[in-house]
Amino acid sequence: MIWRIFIRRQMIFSTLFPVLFLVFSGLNASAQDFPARPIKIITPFAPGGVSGVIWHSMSESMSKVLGTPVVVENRPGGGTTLAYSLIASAKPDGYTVGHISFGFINTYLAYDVGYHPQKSYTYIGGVWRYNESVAVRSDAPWNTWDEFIDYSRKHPNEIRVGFSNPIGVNVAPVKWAAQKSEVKWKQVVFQSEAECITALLGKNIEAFPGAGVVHTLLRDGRAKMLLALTIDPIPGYPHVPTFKEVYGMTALNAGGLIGPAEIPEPIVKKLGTALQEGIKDPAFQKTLEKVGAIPRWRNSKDFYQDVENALSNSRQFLKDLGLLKANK
Amino acid sequence: MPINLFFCFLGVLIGTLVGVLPGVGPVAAMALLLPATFHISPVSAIIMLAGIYYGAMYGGSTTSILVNIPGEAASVITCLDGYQMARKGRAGPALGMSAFGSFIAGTAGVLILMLVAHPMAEFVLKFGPPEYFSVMVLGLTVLIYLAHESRIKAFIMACFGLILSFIGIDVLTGQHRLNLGWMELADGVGLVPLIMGIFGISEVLINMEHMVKQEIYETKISGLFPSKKDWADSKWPILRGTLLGFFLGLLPGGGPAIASFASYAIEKKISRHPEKFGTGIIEGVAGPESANNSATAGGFIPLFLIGIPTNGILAMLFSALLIHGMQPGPLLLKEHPDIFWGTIMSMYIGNIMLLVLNLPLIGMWVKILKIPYQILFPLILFFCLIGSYSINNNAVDVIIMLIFGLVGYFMRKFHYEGAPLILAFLLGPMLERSFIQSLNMSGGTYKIFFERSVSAVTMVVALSVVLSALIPSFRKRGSKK
Repeated sequence: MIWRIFIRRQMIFSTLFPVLFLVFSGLNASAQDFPARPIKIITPFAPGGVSGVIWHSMSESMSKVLGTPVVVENRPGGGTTLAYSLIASAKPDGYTVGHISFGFINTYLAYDVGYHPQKSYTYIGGVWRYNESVAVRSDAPWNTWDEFIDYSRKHPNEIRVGFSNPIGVNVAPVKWAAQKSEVKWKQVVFQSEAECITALLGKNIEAFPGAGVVHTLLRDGRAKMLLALTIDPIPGYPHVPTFKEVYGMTALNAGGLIGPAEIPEPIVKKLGTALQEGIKDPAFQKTLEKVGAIPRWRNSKDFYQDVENALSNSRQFLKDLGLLKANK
Repeated sequence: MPINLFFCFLGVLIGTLVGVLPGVGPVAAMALLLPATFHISPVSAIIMLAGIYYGAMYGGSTTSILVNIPGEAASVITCLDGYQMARKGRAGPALGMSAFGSFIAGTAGVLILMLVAHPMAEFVLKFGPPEYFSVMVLGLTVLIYLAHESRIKAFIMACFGLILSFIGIDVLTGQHRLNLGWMELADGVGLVPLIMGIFGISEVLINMEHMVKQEIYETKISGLFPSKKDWADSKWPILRGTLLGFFLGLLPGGGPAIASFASYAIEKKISRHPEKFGTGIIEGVAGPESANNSATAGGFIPLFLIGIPTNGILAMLFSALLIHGMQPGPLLLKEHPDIFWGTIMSMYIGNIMLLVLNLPLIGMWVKILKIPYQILFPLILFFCLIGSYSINNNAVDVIIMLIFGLVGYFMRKFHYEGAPLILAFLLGPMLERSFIQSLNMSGGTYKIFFERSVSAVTMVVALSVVLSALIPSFRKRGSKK
C-alpha cells in the first residue's frame, strides 16, 4: 500500500510540476510578450458617441506606446449593458478591454444586468472626470444654488428641471438633493443632454444637470453654473459649491479603462503606463475638453476605490429615491 | 474642400444609379451605405447621403420616361406623360426638361432654404415638448390622409409602426418592455434592418415572382434641349411645382412623391386643355419633376432645424446625423454650422453636377437598365445581408431584416404601404417622450397642448384633417340608408 501511495504521489508531483511550470511560464511569457496582437477597446455607445470619441483619440497614443494597433469597437445595445457584459465575459488576457463611466453603477443598482461592479472587472486605470454641473440660463433670477433651492421651496411645482436620463450619475444626486432639501420640481426626462440644452435655451425648462454645458453654454455666457456635481471644484468655477460641500455626499462621474476580472498584474501595469502617456497628449486633452471632462489619472487601486465609493453613494441615492432594486 | 466635392459627386452618382434601377430606392441605398460612412468625416457623410437623395429624384425620371418603369415613387407620375412623349419620338426634350426642371427647382429650393434657415431656427428654438408632440401628430395624420391606396390601411400600418417602436427600453423609467425576453431587442428594432427588409428584401421577393419583362423602348434620343415652345409651356408649371414642392416637403408626411402627384393634379386642373394630359405633353413632365426636387430641399428644414424627419429617406439622414454625434434641431445651425451650410452648398453644387452628369450619361443609364435581374437581385440581396450585419456586427439585425423582408412582401401583396410604418416607427419614441414630457410639465393635464399657441393651432389643424377625412365617409353611409 505504502508503495502505491508513494507511486501516486510521485505521479502527482511529476505531472503537477510541468503543468505548474507551463502555467507560470505561459503567464510570464504572455505578460512579457504583451502586447503581441491588436488590442480591442469596447465602448457601449454608437459610433460618434462621447466615449467613442474619447477612446479614438486615446487609442492613437496608446498604440504608439504599446507598439500594437489599438482599435475601438462600438457595441451599443441593451442601454450599455451589452458592452459591459461582453467586457466582463472576455478572456482576461488584456487584449479585450473596455470603456467604463460611472453610469454603469446606477444601471447595475436599478436593473437586472449581467455584471457586478466589484466582481466582474479588473480596473486598469481612471483617465478622466466629467465636469458635471447643474446649470440655469444666464437671465435666470438665481445666482447661487441656495437661492435656487430657496425659490423652489417657496414655489413648489413651478420650476421645471430637465434630466438627460431617468437614473444616471448626474441625475440621481440632483433628484436626491431635491428630496433632501424638501423642494418639489416638475421633473422632465429627456433623451440626451443635447435635448436638455435645447429645452433650456428654448425656455421649456429652468435647469438641468450635465457635463457638456461647461463647454457649450457656460463659455459663451448663455448659462450659469449653480452646483458642481463633483468632489473638487470645476476648473474656472472655484466659487461654485460642490455637491460634497452642500450635501456631504460624493457625486462623481469618471471614466477609464477596465477589463475582465483577473487580468495579470504586469499586463495591467503595461496598459496603465500607456494610458498615462496618452493623457499627456494635448490632442487628447482637447478631446476631453470638448465633451466636458478633465484628465484625472487614477491607478488601478485608486480607480477601484473610486468605484466602491461611488457604489455606496449611488446606493444611498437610489435607496432614498425608492429606485434601488431589491438585494443590491 | 475637394474631398467633400468628391463625396458629393459620389452621392449624386449613386443616387442617379439607384434612381434608375427599379429594384433599389434611395432609402435602401442609404441604409446600405450608412455603415460605410463611419470612417469619413460627418460633413462628408451627410453630403454624400444627401446626394443620394436628390440624385435619385433625377435618376428616377429617366426610367419613367424611357421604359415606363418608375425608378422610385416620386417618378411614378412622370410615366404618364413622359413615356408618351418618348413614344412620340420626343424622349429627348422630355429628359431634357425633366433635368432642367429638376435643376431649376432644386436650386430654387436651396435658395429658399438658405433664406429661411436662420429665422426658422430662432422660431423653432421656442418649441417645447408640447409643440413637438403636436407637430408629430399632425405629421402622422397628414401622412395617413395622403395615403396612396387606402387610409384605413395606412392607419393600420402607422399603428404597426408605433407598436414596433415601443419595443426596447421604456423612455421614462428605463424598464425593458416588449422584448420577449430577448436582450438583443433591448434597444428595439433597428431602423436600418427594418428599412432594408421592408424596402429591399421584399422588392427582391416580389420581383422574383413577377419576372418583370425587361423591354427597353428602343428610341432614338435626339436633341435633349427642349424647344422654345416647350419652355413657354413649362415655365409656369416649373414655378408652381417648385413652390408647391417646397411647401409639401416641409410638411411631415409630405415629401417628393406626394409633391409630384400634387403638382400633376394642379397642372391638370388649371390647364386650358386638361384632356391632353396623359397623351405626352411637356407640362406633365416639367411640373412634377420640379416639385419632387424642391420637396427634397424643403424636407431639410424640419430635419435640420426641428429635428423631425418627415419621410423614410430623411429618417436615414437623421440617424446618420445621430450616429455621427450630432443632434438635429434648432441648435444644429449654431453648434455645427459646417454640417448645415456644408450640406446646403453641396446641394447647390450637386444640382449642377447632376445636370452635367445626366444629360450626356442618359445612354449609359439606359444600358444599366439592361442588366438582367438574375444578376441584379441576388446582388441586392447580398448587399442587404452585408449591410445589415455591418451596422452593429450583430447577426440579430440580419434576422430582423429577413423577418421584415417577409412582412414587407406580404404588405406589398395586400397593398399596404411601407411609408406610414417607417415614419410612425421613427416618430414613435419621440412622440411618446414628448407626450410624457408635456404631461410632466403641465402636472398631468392635457390642457397644455391647447394652451400654447403653436401647439394649439397645430392640434386644431390635425383634428380638422381627421374630421375632413371622416365626414365624407359618414355622408356616404348616411346616403346609403
